[in-house]
Amino acid sequence: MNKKTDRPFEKVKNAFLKTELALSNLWTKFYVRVVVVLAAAALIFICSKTTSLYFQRNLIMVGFYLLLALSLNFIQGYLGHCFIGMAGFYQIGAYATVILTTLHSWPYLPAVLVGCLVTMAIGMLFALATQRLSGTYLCATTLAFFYVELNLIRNWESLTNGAVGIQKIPPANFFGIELSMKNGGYLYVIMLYCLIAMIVTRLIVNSKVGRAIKAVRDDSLVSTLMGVENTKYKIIAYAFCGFFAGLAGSLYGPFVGYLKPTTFTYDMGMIPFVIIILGGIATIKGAILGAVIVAPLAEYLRMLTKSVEFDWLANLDPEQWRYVIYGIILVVMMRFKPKGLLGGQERTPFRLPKGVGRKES
Amino acid sequence: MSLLEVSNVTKKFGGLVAVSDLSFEVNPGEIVSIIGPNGAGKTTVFNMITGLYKLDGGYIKFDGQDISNKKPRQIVEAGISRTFQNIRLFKDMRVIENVLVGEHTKIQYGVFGALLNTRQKREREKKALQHAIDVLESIGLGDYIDSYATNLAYGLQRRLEIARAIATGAKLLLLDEPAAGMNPQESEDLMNFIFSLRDQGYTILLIEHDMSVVMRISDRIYVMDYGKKIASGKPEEVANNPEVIKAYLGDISKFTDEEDEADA
Repeated sequence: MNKKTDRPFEKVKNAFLKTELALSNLWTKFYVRVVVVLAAAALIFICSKTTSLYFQRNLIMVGFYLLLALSLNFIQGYLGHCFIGMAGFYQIGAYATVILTTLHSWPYLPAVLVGCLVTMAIGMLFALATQRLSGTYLCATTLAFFYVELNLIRNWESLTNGAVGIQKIPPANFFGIELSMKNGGYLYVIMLYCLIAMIVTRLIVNSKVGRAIKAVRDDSLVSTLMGVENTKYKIIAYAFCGFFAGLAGSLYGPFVGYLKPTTFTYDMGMIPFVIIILGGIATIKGAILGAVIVAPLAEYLRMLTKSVEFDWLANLDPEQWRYVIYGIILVVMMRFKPKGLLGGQERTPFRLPKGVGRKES
Repeated sequence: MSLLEVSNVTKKFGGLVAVSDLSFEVNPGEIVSIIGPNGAGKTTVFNMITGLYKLDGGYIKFDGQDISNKKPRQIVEAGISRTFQNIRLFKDMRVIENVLVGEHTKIQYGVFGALLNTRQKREREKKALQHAIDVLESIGLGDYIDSYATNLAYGLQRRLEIARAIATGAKLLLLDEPAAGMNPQESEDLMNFIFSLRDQGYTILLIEHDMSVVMRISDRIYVMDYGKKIASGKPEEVANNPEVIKAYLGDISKFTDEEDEADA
């Protein structure tokens, strides 16, 4: 390695680390969090009122993928299982809700609850069935899970309408208010879901349950010997992942208005994966950063191709080319920062509650 | 009455008898060592005591209670905890989190308690945190609470493993080669540390290869070879036992005889 070429990179890296530390120190203060959450809420409100529907739609998609990334984090980040069948949970949640609301005319909210619980139950069953698998085999099984689930939905015509799909899905009705793009309802609700997922993640991770899940990730033999029931905590992690993926799915159906088996592709399930690899494994801030960068990637590319004069660039189809970029992101991150931009060790001190600490000696 | 009583335990892996008909006991407040050449079955014994392996015969009693073939969790709750030959910490967790995982079975609340952040949960979490900090302070890791386990120096990682074992509330600590990879100064510190643990009331059973450590630290020594107990007793007795010398160095009598003949 040549030192001269290293220097600019080092500078960027140091500046990045410094900013990150300063921001995370700020973030430890409670009022900063309140202000940030309020500011985000205000920003979302303003966006829903002033920006184009096209922009809003992208924002909503960021929300969906953020929620999926947060739920994937339970498995990928905290439990440490490589889970690439995320689209499966998403699809189950969407189908379960939509079957109830559209084919059986249930009201929306109870259908959401059942949809989430069904996804959660399937996640738990999956964890139970794969409890003895690890590494590559487990990863391959999660992929198999997705394809089995996809074909079940495609072929179980009496339940899911098969390949025809489910049409004319009624808009989501949230406590008597019909959600639409115009009234900004979908944006508010998806952001609310994300907030709930973040709060739940925090509560779980900073508790005995989260520590046990992380212990299983770091060394499953030692965790057993410390009295942790590995299978139980694996199932818990999958349950949370399933629940929030189902929650995302339950809103996605009414949002797009039309579901067919091919709505959910393997690539769709890879997006949350790329989000947390890029943003930072096992962190909430990483999921947010990743979602903002990765989810609207096609739009960024579109902007780029429009603004640049090269013919060959203008002819690229951003919808197709973004997958190339996802691939590049994965490879580059694995080589240079496997824990993600904001992942890895935190440099802020461990937060102790009041009244707990070292005795003055 | 002995704290740990291992009686006629046998472990077979297919045709290989890893431990055969082994009996020994550890009394409260003792430091007992198990030594023996590589592959003698020492770690297998630890794995049987901690519930990782099922016994193929015999029984293990701890504190008067039969713990043979119990689940690891039940054995931890009974009061036995261990460390590992090659340090096995939760690398991506902080020092204090490692110790808190040790306390896992003692912290009583579940998923719903954690989700609702109940008062009970917060109280118990506080108590656990305070206990973890106290354990770390007592073991000399008070300054490293915030560090990540993987960033600690080697000797400190060993200490952290022991801290995690203590945090489970164990009365009996099983230390698997605690001095492995340590320089003389570090082993000296470790020995003083183990003595201080004994003084705090812990009973210690250890596997160790470093003879200078074993001979100075142990109250009693058991020697294993090929899964069998070949000798036991006080350090000086064991050191002069011809069986032990044979196991470690081969049959010396042959060589000495030859030398005698050559001399003659």
